[in-house]
Amino acid sequence: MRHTQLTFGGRLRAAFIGGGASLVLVAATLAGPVLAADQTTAAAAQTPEAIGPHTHQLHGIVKTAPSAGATTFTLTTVRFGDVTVSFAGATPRGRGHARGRARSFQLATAADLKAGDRVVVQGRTSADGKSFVARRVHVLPAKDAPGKPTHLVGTISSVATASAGTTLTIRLADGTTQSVSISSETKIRPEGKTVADLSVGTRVTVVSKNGTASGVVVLPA
Amino acid sequence: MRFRIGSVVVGLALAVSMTAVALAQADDDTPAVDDAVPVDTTAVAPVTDQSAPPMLFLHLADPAEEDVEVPLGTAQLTVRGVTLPGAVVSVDGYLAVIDDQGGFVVLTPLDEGANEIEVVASDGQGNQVTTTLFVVRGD
Repeated sequence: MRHTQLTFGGRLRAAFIGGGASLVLVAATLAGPVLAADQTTAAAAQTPEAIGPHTHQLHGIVKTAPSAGATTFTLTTVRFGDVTVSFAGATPRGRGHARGRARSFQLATAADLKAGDRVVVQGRTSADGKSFVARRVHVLPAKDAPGKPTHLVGTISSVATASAGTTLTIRLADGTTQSVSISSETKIRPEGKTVADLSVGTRVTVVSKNGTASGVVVLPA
Repeated sequence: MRFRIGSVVVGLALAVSMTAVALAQADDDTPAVDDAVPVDTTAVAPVTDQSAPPMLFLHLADPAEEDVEVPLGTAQLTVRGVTLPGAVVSVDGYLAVIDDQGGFVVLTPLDEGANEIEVVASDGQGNQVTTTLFVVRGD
């Protein structure tokens, strides 16, 4: 066997070949799972579920209202995508008290719907599985209707006490301020804290509804 | 020539060992998929920095679906879930009591007809997670 004289350049080339092969292998190994995961996520996000025999209720936004005399409309849902809904009409039932919530109401006919309405639909999937047959249609209040609960996280910048009650002004992380009123119904947490603990500089989370705090949580300093 | 082949062998051995390490890391990074509970707003990323605060999450165990239908005689709904311990949770705008493990149980009143009930969790950094329940009380 003949042996070749090893030169420094030869060793260097060999090292480059081996190292390059290792880098290619590692890059392929790392990129494979990442690309596969991305494809799975994208597919899951683009493929809504199909309505089925166990689907008895949907919620969504009316995409296209029924044309004159028609009883079918298209509902855009997060879970099922666009669903064709047929609604022959129903007699609306009475309602209880709303307890501060903006109220929903039932529809008598599909003709009362308009595009953009937020609705909850009760019924069943059609025999061919392609549409939803509504028994009742409830129209929800607009998304920006008053009464939506909010969490305000920030620092108390002022406390105003008057005969009508106490008003807290909260400075939020973005520098803006919001005011909420404290009533005797407001729960203050952790247990044992009182209105006296709500002083300027205290970090709090305020749970409010209609501008009134239903709860104030004193956060750790 | 022998030394050149030896260098290539060493390089390939290095490639094999690095590939094994990469495969092990890929296995560890693959999140578990749980299809059992659909109402889950959890967005937990793998924790790579021990000093990073834990990520806020909100998971409702009851009801397990966003769309719920209850009989007219049911005037209250039980909302049961878990969040990050120390987080603040409200159900329909009312403060929930959170236990040390982040668990909470709230009874919320229902009107006749459709009820839109927002369950909101927030942390001290101002992060917020919301799950909305659509509950129809009636026949």
